[in-house]
Amino acid sequence: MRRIARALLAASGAAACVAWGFFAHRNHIFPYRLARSTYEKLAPAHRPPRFRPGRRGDGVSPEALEKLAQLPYLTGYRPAGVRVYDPALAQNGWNLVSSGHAPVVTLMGMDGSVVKTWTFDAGKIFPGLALTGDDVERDRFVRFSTLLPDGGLLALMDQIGLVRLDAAGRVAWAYRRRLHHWVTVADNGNIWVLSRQTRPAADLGKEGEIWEDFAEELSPEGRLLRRISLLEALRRSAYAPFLTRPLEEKDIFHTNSLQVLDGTLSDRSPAFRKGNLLVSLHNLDVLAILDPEAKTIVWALTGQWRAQHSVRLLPTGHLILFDNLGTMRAASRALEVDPFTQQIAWSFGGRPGEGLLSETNGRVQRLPGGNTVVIESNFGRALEATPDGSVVWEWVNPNRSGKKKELIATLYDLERVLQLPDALRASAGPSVSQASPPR
Amino acid sequence: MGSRILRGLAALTLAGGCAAYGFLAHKHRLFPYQLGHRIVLRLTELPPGFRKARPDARAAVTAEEINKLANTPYLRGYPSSAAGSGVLVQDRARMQPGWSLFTSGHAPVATLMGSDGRVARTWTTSAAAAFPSLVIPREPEQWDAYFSTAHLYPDGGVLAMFSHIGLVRLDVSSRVVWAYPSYVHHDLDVTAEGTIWVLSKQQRLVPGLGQGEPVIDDFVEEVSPEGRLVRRISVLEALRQSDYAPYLAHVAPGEPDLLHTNSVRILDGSLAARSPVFRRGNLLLSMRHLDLVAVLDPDRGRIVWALSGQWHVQHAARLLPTGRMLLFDNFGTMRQASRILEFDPFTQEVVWSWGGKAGEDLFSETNGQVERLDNGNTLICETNFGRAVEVTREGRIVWEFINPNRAGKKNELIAALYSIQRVPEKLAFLAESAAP
Repeated sequence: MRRIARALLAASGAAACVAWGFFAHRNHIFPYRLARSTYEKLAPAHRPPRFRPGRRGDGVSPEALEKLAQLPYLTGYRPAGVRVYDPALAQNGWNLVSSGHAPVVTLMGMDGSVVKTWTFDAGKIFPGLALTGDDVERDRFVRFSTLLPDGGLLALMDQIGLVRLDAAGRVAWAYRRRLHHWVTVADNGNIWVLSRQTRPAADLGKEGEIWEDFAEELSPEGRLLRRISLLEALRRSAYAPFLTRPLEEKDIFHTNSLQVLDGTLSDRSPAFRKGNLLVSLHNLDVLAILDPEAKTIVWALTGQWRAQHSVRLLPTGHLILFDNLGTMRAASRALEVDPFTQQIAWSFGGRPGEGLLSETNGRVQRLPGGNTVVIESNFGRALEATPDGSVVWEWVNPNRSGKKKELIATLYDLERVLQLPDALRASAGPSVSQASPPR
Repeated sequence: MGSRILRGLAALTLAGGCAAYGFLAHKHRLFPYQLGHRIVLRLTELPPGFRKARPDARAAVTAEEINKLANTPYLRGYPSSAAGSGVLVQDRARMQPGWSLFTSGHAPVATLMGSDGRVARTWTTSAAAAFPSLVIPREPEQWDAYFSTAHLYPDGGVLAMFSHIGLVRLDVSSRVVWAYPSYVHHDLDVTAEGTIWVLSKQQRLVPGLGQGEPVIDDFVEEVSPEGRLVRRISVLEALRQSDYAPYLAHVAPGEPDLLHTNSVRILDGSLAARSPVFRRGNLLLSMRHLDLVAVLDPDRGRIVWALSGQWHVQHAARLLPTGRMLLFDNFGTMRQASRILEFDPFTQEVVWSWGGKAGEDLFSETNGQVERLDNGNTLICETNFGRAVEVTREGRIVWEFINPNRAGKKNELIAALYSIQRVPEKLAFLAESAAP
C-alpha cells in the first residue's frame, strides 16, 4: 500500500516536473533562458554543406532519385567534366564558376578548359577575420561572382563580405559585412547586395531573435550609399499580410536574389518601374518588388513555387526562376512564368528525361538566343537546355572529396558569359572549342 | 546521512530530467504536447467575443491577436455600438433601387424589406421541421437558430442555409419544397438555370497534412434544382493536385481547418475571352486560412488560378463584369479595421477601396459580405456590427441599415447580419402595388 502511494507520489512529482518544463518553454518562465542557451550549445551547428553525395546518370525519375539518394555510396555523375556539348545548338561563351571545393573563381571554356582562376584568401583580404559557430568554413568557397567590364571581378564570400578585384587580379577594395547569396551591378555602376543582421522578434510575436534582411547599395568604390530593411519594407506595404504566415525559421525571409529592374512591364504596372528591385524571399515563397525610394514593397507574388532561387525578370516580360521544390516532390524545375496571368510559359525539370533536383541553391539564366542555363547546385551539375528541352551542353563539377571521391562539391554558381572584357579576351581564345566535344 | 544526500541528488536529477523533457516536449511537439496544448486551451478559453463598441481603427495588432479575433466563434449577437436602428440613411436619388433580402442571427428568417426598412415579406422554417430525421446539436453555436444565407428565386421561393445542417428550399409561402442535409457552411450560389453550388466540409485524415491528426477538408457540392447531389469536389485535393500546391506549405502548424473556404461564386463565362481562368462554370472561391482567392475548374477538379498578398482572412470574393475582383478584407490593414478591396486580378493593382479611413468605419472580425450593384454602388454587410451600408464610387454613404433585431436586457446586443443582398424592384410574386 505504502509502495503504491510512494510510486504515485513519484509519478505525480515527475508529471509536475514535465509540466513545469512544458510551461517553461511555452511561457518563457524560469529556466527558459538557461535551457535555451544550453540547447543551442548542444544542438549541431548548421554549416554549409560544401560537398554532398553525387548521383549516377541523368534523366532519372524523381522516385528513382529518392531511392538513389538513400544508397550508402554514390559515385556521382561519371564521367565528370563536359558530358554533352553541341557547339551548333549551344550559345557559346565562357562559364564563370564557383564551387564548394576551394575559395576560387574559375573562368572556363565550353569544353571545360580553365581559362583563368582567381583565388581568395579571406584572412588576408579581411584582416582580423575570425569565423566561429555557423560561420566556420564560410571562407572555403566563393558564393557568387560577377565579371566587370574592366576585366575585374566582384566576388561574394558568404557571411563575410564582398571583394573587388581589378583587371590584374589585385584587391581593389573589400567590404566587410554579413552578405549573402547575390550581387548585382546597376546601369549607373552602383552595386546592390543582400545583407542580414539579427534582431529581437517580439514585435512579430516570435520568441528569440530573427535574421533581418537588407538590400544595400554600394558605390563603385565600395562605399555604403543606402541600406533598406526588407522586413520593414514588407511590413509597411500592402503586402504585410504575408507576415501572418507561420514564420518558423529564425531566418524568416532568407532573401536570395536581387535584380535592378530596367523598366520592362512598367507600361502595364507602375510596380515594375525602372530602378525598382526584384527580390526572392525564399522562406516565404514570395517574389517581391521593392521601391527603394519609398522603401516599401510595391508588388508580390507567390503560389506556384517553393523555396525558389535566382529570380529574374526577362526582357520578354516573363519571370524566370529556379523552383527548388514547387512540384512538392523530390524534383526541381526551371520555371518561366507570366507575372500577371501567372501562366507557366516554359519549364524544365520534373518530367521524364528532365532529372533535376537541388533542395537548396540552384540558379537559372536565360541566354539572349533563347537557351537556358540551369545550375543543379547540390549535384554539382550545370546544363544548357533549348526551348524544346533538349540538353545541348552539360558539365559536371570534377571537384570531389571523400575517401573514394564519393562526394561532389556544391556548384554554388555558374554564369554563362557571352562577351569577355578586353582585358581577358587575349588570354581566353575562341569561345567555341575547336576540339571535338567529349561525349 | 550520505545515502540521504545521494537520494536527494538523484531525486533532483530526475526532476531536472523531467523538466528538461517537458521543455523539449513543448519545443518539438513530442508526447504529451497535444494533451498539454488541449489542457491549456481548455483553461484559457474566454467567454466568447465580447468587446468594446468600436475598437481604435488606427492601432496596429499583431498577427497573433488577429488570429484570436478572427477565430472567435460565430455569435448570434454582438454588443451594439450603433445609435438607432433600422434605416438611418436613405438617399433615394443615389441609391440602387430595389428590395433588400437579409438574414440575421435572431431567427431562421429571410426578410425582404424596402429601402425605408418596411418589411414586405418573410420566409421562415425550423430545422427540426425541415430535417425531421436529423439530431441537431444545440450548443454552443445553435446552428438551427438562424439562416446563414438565403437566395431568392423569381417565383418567390427561397433557398436558405442552416449552417452545418443543410439547405432548405421554401416556396413563396414558406412551405418546405425539399431539404438537403449536408454539412454546408458560409455560402452558396445559384445559376440562371437553377443549378446550386454550395460549400460543405468534412473531417478526414490526409497523408502528409495535419501531422497525423484529422484535418478539415472543404468541398464544393453541385446540387440540382430539385435538391439532389450531382457532384462533390474536394477543394483540398483540387489545390493539392494543382500548380498552386505550395500554398499548403504555409498552413499554421496545429490548425486543422486548413482552408476555411468561405465564399463561392459561379462564373458565367462572360469574361472567358479575357482569360481561360474565367471559363463558364468555373468557381471563384475565397479560402480564409490561406488568405487565398482561387478559381476551381470543377470538370478537371483543379485550382487553375490563385492569388494572395494584399488581404487577410477575407470573405466574399466576387468577379465583376469589368474583370476586376471585389472582396471583404477583414484584416488586411493589420489594424482593427476592415475594408472592401476592388483589384485587378492580374496586375494586382487596387483600383478602389472603402473602409479603414476617416469617415469610413468598417470592422467585422469574422464574416462580412459585399456586392457591387448595377448602378456602380457597393453594398457592404458589416456582419458583426449588424450593419449594412451602400456607398457610391466616391465613398459616400447613400443607404445605411442597422439590424433592428436586438437581444439582452437593455437591447444592448445586436443580431449579427449574416447576409444582405439587393434584389430587383419588380418582383412578380408581390402585389402590383408593392414598391421598395
